[in-house]
Amino acid sequence: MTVASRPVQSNGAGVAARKQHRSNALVGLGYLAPALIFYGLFLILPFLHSIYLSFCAWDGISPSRWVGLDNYRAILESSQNRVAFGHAFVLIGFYALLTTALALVLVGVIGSTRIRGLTIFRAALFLPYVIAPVVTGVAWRWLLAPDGPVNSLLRAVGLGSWTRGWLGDFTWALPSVGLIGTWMLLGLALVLLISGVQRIPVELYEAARMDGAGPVREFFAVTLPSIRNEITVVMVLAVTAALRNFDLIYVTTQGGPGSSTEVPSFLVYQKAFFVGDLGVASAMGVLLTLVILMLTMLILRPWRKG
Amino acid sequence: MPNRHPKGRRTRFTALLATAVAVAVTASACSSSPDDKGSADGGGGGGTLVVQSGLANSPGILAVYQKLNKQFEDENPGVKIDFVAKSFDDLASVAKLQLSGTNPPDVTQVNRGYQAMGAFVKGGLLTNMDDYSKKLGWDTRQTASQLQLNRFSTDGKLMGEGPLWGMSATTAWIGLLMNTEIAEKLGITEPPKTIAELEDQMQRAKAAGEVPMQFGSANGELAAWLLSELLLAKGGPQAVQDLVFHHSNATFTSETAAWAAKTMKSWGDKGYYAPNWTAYKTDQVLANFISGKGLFSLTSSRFTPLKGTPEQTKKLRMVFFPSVSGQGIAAVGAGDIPWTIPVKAKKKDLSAKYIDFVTSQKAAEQFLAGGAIPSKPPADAESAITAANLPVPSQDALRNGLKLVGEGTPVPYVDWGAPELYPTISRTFDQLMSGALSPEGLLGELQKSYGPFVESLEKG
Repeated sequence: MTVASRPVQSNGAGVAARKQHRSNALVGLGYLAPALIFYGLFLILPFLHSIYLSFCAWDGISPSRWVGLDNYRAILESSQNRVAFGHAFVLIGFYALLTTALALVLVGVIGSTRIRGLTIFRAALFLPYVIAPVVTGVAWRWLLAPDGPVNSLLRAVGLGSWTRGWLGDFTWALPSVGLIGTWMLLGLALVLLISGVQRIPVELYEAARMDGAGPVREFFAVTLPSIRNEITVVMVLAVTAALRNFDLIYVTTQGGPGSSTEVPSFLVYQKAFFVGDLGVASAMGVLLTLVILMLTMLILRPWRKG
Repeated sequence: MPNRHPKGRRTRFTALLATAVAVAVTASACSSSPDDKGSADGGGGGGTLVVQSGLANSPGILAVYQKLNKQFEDENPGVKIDFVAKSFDDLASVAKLQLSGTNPPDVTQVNRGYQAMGAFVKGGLLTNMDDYSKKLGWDTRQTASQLQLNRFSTDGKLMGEGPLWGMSATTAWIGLLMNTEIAEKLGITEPPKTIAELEDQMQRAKAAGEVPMQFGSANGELAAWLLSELLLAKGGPQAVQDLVFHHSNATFTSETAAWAAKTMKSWGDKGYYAPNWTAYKTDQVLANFISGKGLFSLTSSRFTPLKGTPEQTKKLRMVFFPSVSGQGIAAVGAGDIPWTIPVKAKKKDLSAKYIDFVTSQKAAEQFLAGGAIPSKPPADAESAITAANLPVPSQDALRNGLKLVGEGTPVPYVDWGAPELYPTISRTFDQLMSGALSPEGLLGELQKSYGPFVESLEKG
């Protein structure tokens, strides 16, 4: 290891360089200012305000009252909240793991097959991500209704005993929501991964083939390591989507049946807008943020080491 | 050699993280100031009057309001009504921000309950209507039990007592829908008057392969209605009123509540609810029933006139939910979301004039003709109903609704008793039916959502 020595500059030149550097920095800040102000006003300040509120009892109107850690204690002591966080982790399994696995399989297939009209195929797969989650929820609610097309199809192929009200079933409601989320995110994951695959030099594949690698070996030896960063992005986005999943739950199950699809973000909404307990709602929002941060750091850890 | 590339990527990831953080907390970030205090000049005059309703999902009533607004403009030259129709959920979500802001609507509907009207009254965000009530005769226009639901003590702690803060123009009640075609097939000629008769008729439907009770719990509304109706059926109006108004140390551990929980559970065990009922929301339950599935269903008169063809609706009736004793006229019902005047409204006298107009005799006749139950019945209601030529269930809803308001006792929804009650009923009803909770367990959960809240109000 060598240490590079600083070039010797005359004092006057050093001052000029520093001035130039400061001037550049100011110009840079000027460009950033509108976005920074917007970001600070509409994201950072409300977030800090939420942290403050999480230590208060507040109904949204009367003066707030400092209660210390009471809100956090109430959340952690409530089995309903713990169960809701558990559901969020189940959804991570669908949103992040299943989505990524399916997208990788599709990338492997696409990478090794010549498909005509790939652009149309990609656009069709990406479409679910563009549709508003509320619309997606309404459509799937109809598809999965007791008399809906999914059950009709099952009856038509002789699987009548499998039919059920999927979104009202204690066992199947949460997996159903998870699968809807997987359907929504699959297109995004696929587009991100394919863009990664397209940047892999062809020579790498040629070299692998010369070494006798088949399509499967090619995928694991060349494709997968080369799109590691894209996989990380997909995982972070999917984990975040799973944890802040509100709209889909609200439209499809409203947390039911019973509490079998309740998730933290739905409870935040319920506490804030129906119960009027903004202190607890804020505390739950902060906890949710911390969980998202921790999971994101966990996902990024191998990437950072790499 | 240092590699700048990963650092650049890390920066992008940091930005991504920051975005995730921001998105996650947005739902809980509130921008209204806790210390906002209102002031109003009470001025009147002309100009535009912004009137905000939560009636976007009630097209029948909205059509009547459109006519009334035109008439109000004609009677008050220089006044223009800017009528905003939001869904009930949207109205509830923005109410706090609007009322605590500097430019609220001139007239707005405000939901009842401790977390809505109670909190707004406590925060000084609504105009006390006692003076208008005396001046314009509102205190005698509607019955005491109707006005009681729009009263709150100024500290927001006692519902049903203290000044008047709002006026309802129409009324809605919860009743039993009955399919007379299925009933005739089963040899049933009369609607049930007692719970025993209802259970007998549901048993006969079950035995004949019909759905006894078209039902759904996906949004919790019908579960809350059923619990309220059963508490009323066993304990009478006082039992529900005591829970809602926090009188007589009422609790959910009473004998009446235990009976209601066991009855709901036994109906589930006997298969009286429609198959897959956990998957249906209120509107889907109604659609199923109108399509001919089920001997009975629960509904609100606000859904009349019912959708469906005349052929489908002519065989349906809307009757009172029976009681254990079969005596008295009572049902869960209340005036529609009351019209209020925000304390920061700029044309209060004109706002009051508008509320006076939509709760008047003249408006009542038009509501009735449009199929809605006016809070003040017109002098010759029967002629008006006949002239309106409405479908049978709508006529039932109007006749029985007016009977309830005039001769009977409308009882508030039990979930108004505490902010957490509605989500708790919604959650625990399914758990009771699945066996995850016993009837005692359900009552324990309800009491946990109710008792501490009542105590917190008492402690201040």
